[in-house]
Amino acid sequence: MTASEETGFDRARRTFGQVAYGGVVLGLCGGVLLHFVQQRAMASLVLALTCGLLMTVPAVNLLAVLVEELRRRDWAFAALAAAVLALIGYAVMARL
Amino acid sequence: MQTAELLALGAGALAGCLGALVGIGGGVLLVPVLNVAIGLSFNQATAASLVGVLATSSSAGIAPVRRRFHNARLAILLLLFSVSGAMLGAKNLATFSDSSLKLIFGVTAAVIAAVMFVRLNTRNVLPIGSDIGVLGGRFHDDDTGGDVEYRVRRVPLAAAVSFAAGVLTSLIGIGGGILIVPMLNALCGVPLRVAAATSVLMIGVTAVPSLAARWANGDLGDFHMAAMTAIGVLLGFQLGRTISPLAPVKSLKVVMAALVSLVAVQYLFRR
Repeated sequence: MTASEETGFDRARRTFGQVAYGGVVLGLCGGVLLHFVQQRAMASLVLALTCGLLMTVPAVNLLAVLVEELRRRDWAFAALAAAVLALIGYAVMARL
Repeated sequence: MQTAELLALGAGALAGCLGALVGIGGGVLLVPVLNVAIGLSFNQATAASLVGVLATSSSAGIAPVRRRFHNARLAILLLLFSVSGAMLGAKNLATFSDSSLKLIFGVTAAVIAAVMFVRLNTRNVLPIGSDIGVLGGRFHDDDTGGDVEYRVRRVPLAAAVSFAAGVLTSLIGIGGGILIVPMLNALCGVPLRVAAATSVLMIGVTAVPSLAARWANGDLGDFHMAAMTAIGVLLGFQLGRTISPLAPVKSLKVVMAALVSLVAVQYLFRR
């Protein structure tokens, strides 16, 4: 398959990946820059938000896989994806 | 910029490059550099390494969806075990003995390295039209120029290794790719490029509960060293992705087997 065969859903996934990647790059560079100009508190806040974004990306990818399996009506794999999402959701919420 | 920051950037770049080439998160390289060379505590090094692992996984998300080699179904199945392992590890951060953990990791890595060297010339592909089972797949192979198929074998073994990789992700900050990629390739019949891409998808998800636990423990500090490491990873991943199509699968297998051997030696003899 080639990129030209991407469906609308595939394009949405790729766009999310690119936007999230851009956000991560901006957040990391901005945070490090703020650290170097001695704005430590603001740097920590920006970097903490970026770490949060980094943790969100895999969860959204997993959600996309879940949606894809639901669209294929493959209930077994959809249930597995939902179970994994529930596990990481629980793990994160338990630490908040 | 100070030496420590440059070291974190460089180690991150090397880890990111390896991530793009062979699908490992690079924690196995990042933790010793951050801990021994830079002087972060083991817990801080582990936390920063996990941020690097997530950066590797995030970098893979910008490729066109249909040009990705990962096997999503296999990843979901194995994630159930690796995430469970990561949660178990996160709950017992202080319980496990460091040396026994390193011994188990070293022995596992040594076995995988030996199997990889024995199977260097074996290709895990089937003729088109073969029975690929529920978890198998099909992809365009740049090495042969045609479509190839593969079947996933020894799924219970893959599940057990994924669980162990999850535990290790929480305890010693590696992404687990160093175990998952060789296991999928050498023992489960998955072609290397598919194993690497599936691993990148898995290590990101597995790292989430582990990083949440480390973050809650305050191991990320002011996030600065973790950020320097992650910037290095992002740069290295782009470099690795450029090189990847030019590198034949056999060379990648040799690199991977050599890397796993080095890790095995490090954990078995330098504990």
